[in-house]
Amino acid sequence: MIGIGTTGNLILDFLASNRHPRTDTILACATILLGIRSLCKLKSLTAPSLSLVWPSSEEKKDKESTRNCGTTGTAGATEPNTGSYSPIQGLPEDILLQIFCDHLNSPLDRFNLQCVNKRFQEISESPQMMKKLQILPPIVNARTTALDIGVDVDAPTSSASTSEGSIRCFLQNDTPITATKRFLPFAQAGNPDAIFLLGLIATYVEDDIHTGVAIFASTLHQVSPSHARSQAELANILLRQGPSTKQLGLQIMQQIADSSAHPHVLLGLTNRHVHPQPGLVRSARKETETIHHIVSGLVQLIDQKPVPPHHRRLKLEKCINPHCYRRGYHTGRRAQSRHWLKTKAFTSADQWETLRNDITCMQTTTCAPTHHDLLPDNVQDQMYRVPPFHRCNRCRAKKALYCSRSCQLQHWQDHKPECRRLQHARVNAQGIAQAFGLEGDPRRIEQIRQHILAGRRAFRILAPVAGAQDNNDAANNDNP
Amino acid sequence: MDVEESTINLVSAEGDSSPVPLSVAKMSELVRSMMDEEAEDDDVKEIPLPNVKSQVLHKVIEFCEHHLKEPMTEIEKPLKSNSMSDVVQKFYADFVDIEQVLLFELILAANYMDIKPLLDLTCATVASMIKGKTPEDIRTTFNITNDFSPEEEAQVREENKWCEEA
Repeated sequence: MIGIGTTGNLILDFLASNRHPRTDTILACATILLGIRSLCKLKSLTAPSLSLVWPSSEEKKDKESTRNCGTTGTAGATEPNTGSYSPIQGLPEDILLQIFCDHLNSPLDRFNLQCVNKRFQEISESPQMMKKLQILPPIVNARTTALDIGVDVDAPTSSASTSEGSIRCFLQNDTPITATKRFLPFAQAGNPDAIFLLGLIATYVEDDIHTGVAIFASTLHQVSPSHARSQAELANILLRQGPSTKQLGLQIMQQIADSSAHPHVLLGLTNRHVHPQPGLVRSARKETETIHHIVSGLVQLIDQKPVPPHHRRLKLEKCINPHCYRRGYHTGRRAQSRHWLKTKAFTSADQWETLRNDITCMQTTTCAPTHHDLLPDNVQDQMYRVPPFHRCNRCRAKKALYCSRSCQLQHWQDHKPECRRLQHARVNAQGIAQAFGLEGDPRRIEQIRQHILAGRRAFRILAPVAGAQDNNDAANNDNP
Repeated sequence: MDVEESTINLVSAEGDSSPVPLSVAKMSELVRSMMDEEAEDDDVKEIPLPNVKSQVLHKVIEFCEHHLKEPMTEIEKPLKSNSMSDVVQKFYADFVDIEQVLLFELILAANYMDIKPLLDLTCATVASMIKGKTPEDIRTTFNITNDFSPEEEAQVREENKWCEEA
């Protein structure tokens, strides 16, 4: 019986990974096999598992009548005789599934159910349950909370303490590969949280924006609170990637805002001078908390990636955008690390490739629009282009790029001492260059700046220039 | 309407018939659809419910009668609390504070008679008995035998470690 079931599943798996020309026939076979299994399951449940429940042969009659109610799903149950058997085994599968799906869809509850016995494990591994599992705390609907101002003041605090414990998507020693493998089955069952997490891993940890966009885009056909996170992230990526995708990103944002599904988007699109409703602010704050937890998990994953040792020191925190200076990863270094990966021939990259194939298959099986259908043609080339960032206006250093003004503000405390040094170097380099008549030569200015930053005296490299142009050395003294 | 509301007899598995006002009986989709089928004859009818025992049927009728007077608050999904009295009104919390056998029979009856609020309530009650419990607690609560071999159990635990880790 189990053999039949696994065959059915194997066929389904095969279908998920390959597009076979005769898909329909195979699919039909698989459903038939699975159907047989569910029939078998009912029978096997009534016979062997219940005999385990009653090890003694004391109440054969009870067993008989419970078997009836197990197979037919009716209320023809036993005389009330509690101690010796377990009445919950008599419930038909669909009712148990309903109980589990509706109320016990936190990861911890699912874990507990799985460990109880084989039947519970099977039920909690069904696709419906996988789909409904809440890996992340749900988004508080901004519009409903905005209506009842002040009524649920204590509600967020009480649920905040539970949500703290309920975000447990990443393990301590997770690598990107193990995390992806874990969420993939859930995402294939259509679990929105798993799709979101996979998208984040693809985009930010694996540095593969194409796949990330494809994953996020698979949720586009339905705007609902459960998918709003993925869609908001997709819109964010599109907004960052340059002018041609900006319009599309804004459209998606608008869509999410119309269904009031994501508090951050609502806040972002409201007029800056209008005071937002307290309910909205509260739900946005909660969402920020959630995101913060996820980001710390992602940072952990990045740490587990094989990266050159000197990159470990990089300050990785808070900002979800890897290009942002607040995160510590920006394009230059990212490219470097990728090169390093290639040269060191780490297998991780290959593993990601195979997983990526699985993910893209998930895409086609859920019949969602791929990013090829979604994006204009020229976007493909622009995906990796450096987006327009906010640059620190004081030091104007190349690395001090922030994805948003809020990132810049939050990073200021850390950046401040460095900024002063950089600014000093920049101003001085410009002054020296001016004195030597080199304003029009940015390469030269940069050279001087580097020298100042390294703590060397600038005029050393200027000596040949000074000699050639016959400038007097007094100018050099004016600009220490 | 000043006419005395017509009643209908629900017949349990044992053959006891209990007269029930039409509005109460119609909370069950099963009864409603049976009524619609034979709408032409207007004398007092009997609806046989061979899968529901008298004791359970009385509970079901009690629920339906009260539900018409004081509708149950919608149960939030997923459950917020382990105690039913935090989730629904006092009557309903007391209503499901019964022994397990009866509770499961109520679930089956609600499923059979297709009474959605009762099914919701009873399912939520079972869920509240499971929520937040360890696997051992669940097994003792429902008297379930552990049919995993130690290796299998270790494997299940390993696979789901990420759920467990706080």
